[in-house]
Amino acid sequence: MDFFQNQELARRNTRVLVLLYALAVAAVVAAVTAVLAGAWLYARAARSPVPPTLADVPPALWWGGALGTLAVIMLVTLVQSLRLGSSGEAVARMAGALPVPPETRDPLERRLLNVVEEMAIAAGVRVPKVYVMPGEPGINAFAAGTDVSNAVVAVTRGTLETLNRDELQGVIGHEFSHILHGDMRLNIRMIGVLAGIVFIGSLGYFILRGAGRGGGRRQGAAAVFAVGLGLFVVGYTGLFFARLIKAATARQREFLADASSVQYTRNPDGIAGALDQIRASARGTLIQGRSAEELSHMYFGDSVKLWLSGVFATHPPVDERIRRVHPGFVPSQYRTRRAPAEQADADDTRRRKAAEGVLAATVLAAQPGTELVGKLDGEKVDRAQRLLERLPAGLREALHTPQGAQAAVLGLVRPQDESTRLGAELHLPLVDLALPALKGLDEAGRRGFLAAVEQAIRADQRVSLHEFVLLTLLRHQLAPGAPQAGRKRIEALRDDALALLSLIAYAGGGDAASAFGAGVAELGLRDAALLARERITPEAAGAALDRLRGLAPLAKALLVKAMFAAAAADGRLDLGQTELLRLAGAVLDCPLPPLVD
Amino acid sequence: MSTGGWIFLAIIVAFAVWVIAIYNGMVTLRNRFKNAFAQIDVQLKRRYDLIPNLVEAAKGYLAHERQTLEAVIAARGAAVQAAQRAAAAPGDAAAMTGLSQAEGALGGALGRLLAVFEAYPDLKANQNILQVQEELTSTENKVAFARQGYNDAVMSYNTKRESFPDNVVAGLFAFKEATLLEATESKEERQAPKVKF
Repeated sequence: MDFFQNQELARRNTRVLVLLYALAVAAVVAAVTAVLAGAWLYARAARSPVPPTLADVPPALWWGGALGTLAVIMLVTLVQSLRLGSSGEAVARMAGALPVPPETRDPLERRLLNVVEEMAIAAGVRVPKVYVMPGEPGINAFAAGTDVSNAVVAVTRGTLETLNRDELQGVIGHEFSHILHGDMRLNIRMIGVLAGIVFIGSLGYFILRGAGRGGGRRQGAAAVFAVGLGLFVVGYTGLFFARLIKAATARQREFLADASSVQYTRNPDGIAGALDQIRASARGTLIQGRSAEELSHMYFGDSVKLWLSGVFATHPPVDERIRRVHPGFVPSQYRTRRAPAEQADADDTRRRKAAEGVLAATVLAAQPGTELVGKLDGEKVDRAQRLLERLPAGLREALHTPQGAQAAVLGLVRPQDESTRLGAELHLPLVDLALPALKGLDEAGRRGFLAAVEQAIRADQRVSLHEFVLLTLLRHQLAPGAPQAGRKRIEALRDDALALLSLIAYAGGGDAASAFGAGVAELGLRDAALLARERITPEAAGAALDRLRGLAPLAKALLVKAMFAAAAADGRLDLGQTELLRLAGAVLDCPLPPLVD
Repeated sequence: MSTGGWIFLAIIVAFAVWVIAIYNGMVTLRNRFKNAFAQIDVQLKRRYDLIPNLVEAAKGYLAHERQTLEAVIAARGAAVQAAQRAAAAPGDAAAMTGLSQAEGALGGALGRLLAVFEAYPDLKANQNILQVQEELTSTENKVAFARQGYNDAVMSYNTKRESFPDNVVAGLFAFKEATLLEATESKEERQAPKVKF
């Protein structure tokens, strides 16, 4: 069956179920009327010598009973629908979801916004507001709102972190089906009718209690008691069946939504993969928030575990959903070829690889006689790794533990005997290797470590460029300041940019003025003058670098490029300059551009 | 009027209501697919607007992939021109073919750019590049989904137009058949690499 047939099937089943629901309501009305008639007959039999028959029941009682019951059910339905029919935003707030700002910088949220827009285009509805439920590790989502115009889509943070792009698209497509097909409206009406039936049952219970307590004439009391009991039984029997039908309807809407998701994405792997991830994850779709049960019918998967889950479940079993939406789905195959979810920080191996690449570039550039070649091919990375192997094996092992890493970095900055000193070109690579372990320290530990490094550096009363780079890099990595919005242009931070260029120009040791000129030309600034050497203190340079983090991404790239131009103006890169470049690249969140154009 | 007359009148009125309902339903569907067609244009325009920014952002990191970037820029220029020509002469077969070819070339160039990103693992660890890549993927998806949405809308319109009894009303008011959008199978597009995320 293709998805159009699946949709048609689900629609047909829904129609049958809605009809059944209406029949159930009619049956309740009829039963209530019968109870009233029975009570009338009972009361009449006590007073008249001839046993009354059904024909004696006044027509007004039939009509009045039926219409009255119907009116009661409809009134309660209306009240309940108005109460529940709040806008999607109110529902999202109730679920503890937060709106995603359109200008968000979080890559996962960015992707979510994009996927929602894509699905809005595919489904042909306007883009709803998007919410995220933070702190919910399960995979779940819901759409809410009575109308396309006030609809919202909300997903858990766990969904964003666990699912890849295609799977997220499948889930969002599913939610769009609920919006487009008015499932929220249908659901609210059904809940309203349910409340109407419950009301009749409660009325019966109320009368029962009243009749049990009050004395009065025996015959009349017995009739009232019978009416109460009858209403009670009818109400709760009706409730049972109405609930069954409502749950079955909800399950059909889920099938419809799954099939529609395939229509929008044309990729059955997406929705089937998302369902498979739910199956594979320990938490599944469970929601922790307090409103989980109240909103259970709206979620992508079951948000709570229910008694008699088979018949009352608002969602079909996951296996069944996968089978219907993608009959040829083989989980074992899918899981091996599935693209991993892009995670903000977790994708460790790739980060390490990237770090190694930058590291290798730094080390290579620092090698005397190395051609200035920016492209990293396998051979050069190998050479860099051989270089790293010159680190004593014991030291490399130690770098993986917090204590060893701290000791190693402190060893770098402590004034010591020249013979035991590691080559300066190995310092930054060593810090790079030590950083993961250092980041594992707690807040106080990191602060203490930074203070110790600073003390060691200042012990000899002077701060070399090399020491400045080490300290600033460590500070940036271990005690990051508040994230910067990053919108400023170079012109806005002109003085800081020029200070940095002056610093790197002096670091070359050659003709600082011409190096500075090359950098300024790259930046495209006019009337810039090289700063006097003594004006560039470590503190000033560190502060300038910190302010430059406020640059727009492109301006940052341009600045690093200009620094490179200044450093390479004399045709060679000194170690100090390379390290400065590396520092600027790290602080400005901008990888080193290829070293030659 | 006699009872028969009243019944006759009632039947006429019911029939008229029925025809009006079908007519309105068809108008709704027709507007939906027209809107879906406009949506494609909106997404193409969005793609043109986005590309310079994307390329600018990628430039700093991809200096040695200049050819790929320049190909994207050139393809964008050609597509914008083709779109203007097509807008000047809507329905002109040559202009439409030109547009679809230019779009295909642009899609291919963008696909290669995405493939370039794939080839540099260190680039993929960079937030800016990841963001650029996400925007590119999304833009391409949006163009594809807009086309698909149009075809879906055309399908439901045509199905309603052709099924009984609606086809009688459709014939009465001359609702024309809508055509599906063919895939732009240009040479470049067939060459576009499969990009997996």
